[in-house]
Amino acid sequence: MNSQFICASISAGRRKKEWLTGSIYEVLGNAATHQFVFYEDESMAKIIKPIIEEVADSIDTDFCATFYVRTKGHPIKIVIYINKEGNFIYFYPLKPYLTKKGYGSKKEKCDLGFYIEQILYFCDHFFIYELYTR
Amino acid sequence: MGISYSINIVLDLKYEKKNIEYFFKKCSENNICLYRDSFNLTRLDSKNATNQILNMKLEEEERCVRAIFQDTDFSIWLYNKNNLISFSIDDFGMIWRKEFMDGCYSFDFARYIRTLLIICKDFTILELTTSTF
Repeated sequence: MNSQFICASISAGRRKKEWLTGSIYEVLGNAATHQFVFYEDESMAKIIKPIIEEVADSIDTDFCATFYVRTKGHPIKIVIYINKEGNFIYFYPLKPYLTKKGYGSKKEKCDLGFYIEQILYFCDHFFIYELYTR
Repeated sequence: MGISYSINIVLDLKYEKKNIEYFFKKCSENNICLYRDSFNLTRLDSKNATNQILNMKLEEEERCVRAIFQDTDFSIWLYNKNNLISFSIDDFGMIWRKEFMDGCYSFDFARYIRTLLIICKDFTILELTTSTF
């Protein structure tokens, strides 16, 4: 897995279960709108449809949920992690989107712009406290 | 004192005059109007904006340009980060705000970042960080 990641810290309900469920409903709706395809595991062999209640239960008990998705053909591991400090969405490119843009670049590099755009789609309608790449 | 916001991006673009000028050209092509500063709304083209950034006679805190885009305005700072162009936007005048799903009405980072992604579509983005202080 590529060591780079993109993290967005967003506002969402975490104290009350119904708020959490509503937030999960929203992000999965965003994912569907932008044609994210969900898979069972990293092998990307079997397409699944995440069940909102199961994801909310997982976050409620383990404070995190992991998804394997493809968006525009690119595989990404998405981790939703919730703790006392906030609600975090992590995008880990499983195979970096290498590109040599038309200007400046001498060789192909991982264009984080692609992943930043995707994480903005995923977090649409949520207030972003912070967004950063590492 | 109010809250300040900034967005910083590092491009895979060598920090040199022709590239800085190309960066500002992309700003202009995307309808971002460049001005000398908040108090001197002398319009700058990409060449003049580049000269202002590279003008070593200016104090460091003056080496930025003011930008107006649609109904928002901000300062654009350019830095040399390991010989690559790094730029920040901050000091927002009219701010894009939005009501979010949890009811909070606040700074719309996503809209600004999307705007920057359009400007940077010719460049590879190596880093992005937002700050609130």
